[in-house]
Amino acid sequence: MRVLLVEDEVRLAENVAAALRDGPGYAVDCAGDGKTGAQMASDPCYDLIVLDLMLPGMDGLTLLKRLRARGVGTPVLVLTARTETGSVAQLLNEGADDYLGKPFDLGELIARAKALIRRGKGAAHPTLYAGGIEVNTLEQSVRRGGARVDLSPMEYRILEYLIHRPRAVVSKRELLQHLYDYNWEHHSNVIEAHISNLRKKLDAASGVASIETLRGRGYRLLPEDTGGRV
Amino acid sequence: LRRHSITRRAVAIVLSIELVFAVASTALVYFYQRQLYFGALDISLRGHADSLMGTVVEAADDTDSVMMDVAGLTTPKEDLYEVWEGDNLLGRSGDLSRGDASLRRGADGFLRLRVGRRRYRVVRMHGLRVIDPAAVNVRHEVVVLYASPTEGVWRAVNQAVRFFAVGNAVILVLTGWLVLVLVRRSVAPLNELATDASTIAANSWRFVPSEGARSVEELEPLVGAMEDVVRRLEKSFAQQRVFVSDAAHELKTSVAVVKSSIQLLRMKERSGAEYQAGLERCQADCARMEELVQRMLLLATVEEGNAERESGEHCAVVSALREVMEELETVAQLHEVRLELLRRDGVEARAKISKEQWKTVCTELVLNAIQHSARDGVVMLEVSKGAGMVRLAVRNGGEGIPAEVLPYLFDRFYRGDPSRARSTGGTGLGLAICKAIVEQAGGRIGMGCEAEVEVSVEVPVDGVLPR
Repeated sequence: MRVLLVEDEVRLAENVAAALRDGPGYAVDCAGDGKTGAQMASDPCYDLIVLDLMLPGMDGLTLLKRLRARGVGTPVLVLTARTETGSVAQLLNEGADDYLGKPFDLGELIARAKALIRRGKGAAHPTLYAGGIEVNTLEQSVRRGGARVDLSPMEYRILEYLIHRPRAVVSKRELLQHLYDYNWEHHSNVIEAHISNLRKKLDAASGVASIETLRGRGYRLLPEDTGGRV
Repeated sequence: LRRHSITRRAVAIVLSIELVFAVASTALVYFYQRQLYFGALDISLRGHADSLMGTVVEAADDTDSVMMDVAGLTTPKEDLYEVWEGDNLLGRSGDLSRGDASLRRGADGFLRLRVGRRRYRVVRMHGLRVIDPAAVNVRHEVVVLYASPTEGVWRAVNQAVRFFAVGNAVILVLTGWLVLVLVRRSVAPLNELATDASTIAANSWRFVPSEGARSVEELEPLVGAMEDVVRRLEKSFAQQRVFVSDAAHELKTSVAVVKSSIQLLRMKERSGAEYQAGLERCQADCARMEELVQRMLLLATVEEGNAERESGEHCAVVSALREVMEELETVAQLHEVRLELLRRDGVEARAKISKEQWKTVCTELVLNAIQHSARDGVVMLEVSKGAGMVRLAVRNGGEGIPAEVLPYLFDRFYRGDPSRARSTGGTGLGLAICKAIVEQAGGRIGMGCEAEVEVSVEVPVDGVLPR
């Protein structure tokens, strides 16, 4: 998953970005002012936008309004020092999905970020099932047929992204854009290796193929019943 | 402090003036009436005495004496009279002189007399009866004493005075009541104004004086002053609110940085070196927060008090500036910037500002100039003297400032370019502090960027009145 963080306080941005990378393993891009943030936010590659309200250039609320006016539906988590009922209500009415009052708890920030991403992809429960695979996004653990599968962080992130979009074909480019930050192009040749490892680990346990490669189009999680024997 | 009521005071003043007039007019009436009634009494006394004098005629015998012929004479029953011819009593009604011979001696005129319990007014009249002037020519000196009781006259005078006094008293009471009502009615707009004013609160600054209060000419200055005060209070409250809100945002952000730094360290197991680096970052974050708090307090202190300005402190502008330049030399070297001082006409002026505050201003401005200066640049400090002012211009020839940003540069927490301000450790308070200090000292501060960025400060010269 890839997150855009719009925050002008450099140290806070560093800490939040580090927490999102270290915790749930998201790719994080930072914008230091409102105008840059607005430009970056309209890119559909982001699964979540974390937005500070007091920004130079363009304040967070204006940014939010423009984003929603342009039809960008990415979930937005607002960071604000003002938590009076009135301003919170205004934020939510303008299209924010959630807010956190400063100073916030990093654990809570991560939990809210996860929930917003999950909801943004139409899942209600933190544990996701598809093709006989069970992904617990809280523990970041994976099971197949009741047996635990140990994955590397990158493999887990690929699977987490795929399981949020069961039955859909996900292109290599989309995977790259959502799993890496602005440097994603440099990682294009390693993604295939990660997919291959992921497939091996998942299929070893049950002997049923889990991820289908559609040449030139991308990857897809196979439903359990259609999965052929390896 | 003695409280007093305008209403009571007005009523008392009007009533006492009226009382004085009432007493005076009553006294006047008393004297006038007495004059009038006693004048009439005197005329009647004289008339009666004349009539009595007329009754003295020659006696029918041959003694050439005189006698009284009272036939047809009528006098009021309560009146008394005596007619004497020398020591010879010719006739009387009642005992007027009761053997006091002195009463019939003396010139013509009026006397007061008490007979028994009654008071009388007496007229004494001398007359001469000459018997047969052609032959014997006997002269008889006749004295008539005629008295009327005065109680009736007094009664009439008193009645008139009483009528007047009662009338005055009634008018007095009526006026008192009327004045009370009128004063109360004319003071009513004051009460309305008080009611209007009592609705003003920190969250509701609407002050609309009622029609009644606005229509009173005398209340115009008060209404104007109140409107002015409310407007100024509202403005300063709004400013305070913005300041508190901005300050809260800055502080919360600062706390968020420190908190997240610590939480980040605890998120997973880390190596000793990582903990070390993390702790150092936490310490730096805390130091920044401390600086922010200190500067906010400094700004609040400067904006609050005129104390220093009135203490009459002053400082030598150039030597203080030299101290600041020495203190900042290392920072300048670090940024590879040169500091240069230019003194027009070799001024060494003393300014009306405390040395500490002047150095704060200089430090802020020079530091700012260094931080926004290009490498190998020069920060030029120019001191000159104007009309009653010492002027310091700080130029760094650095990057220009967008014109639309200029008016906000002295606002609290404003950062021209946030990424740079943050990275240079700015709190967005430095220029606001300078502005507050300079304005408290009665000076001016401004920024321009025509050829190059220039901040100019003017402070009043010591001994010369500002403005």
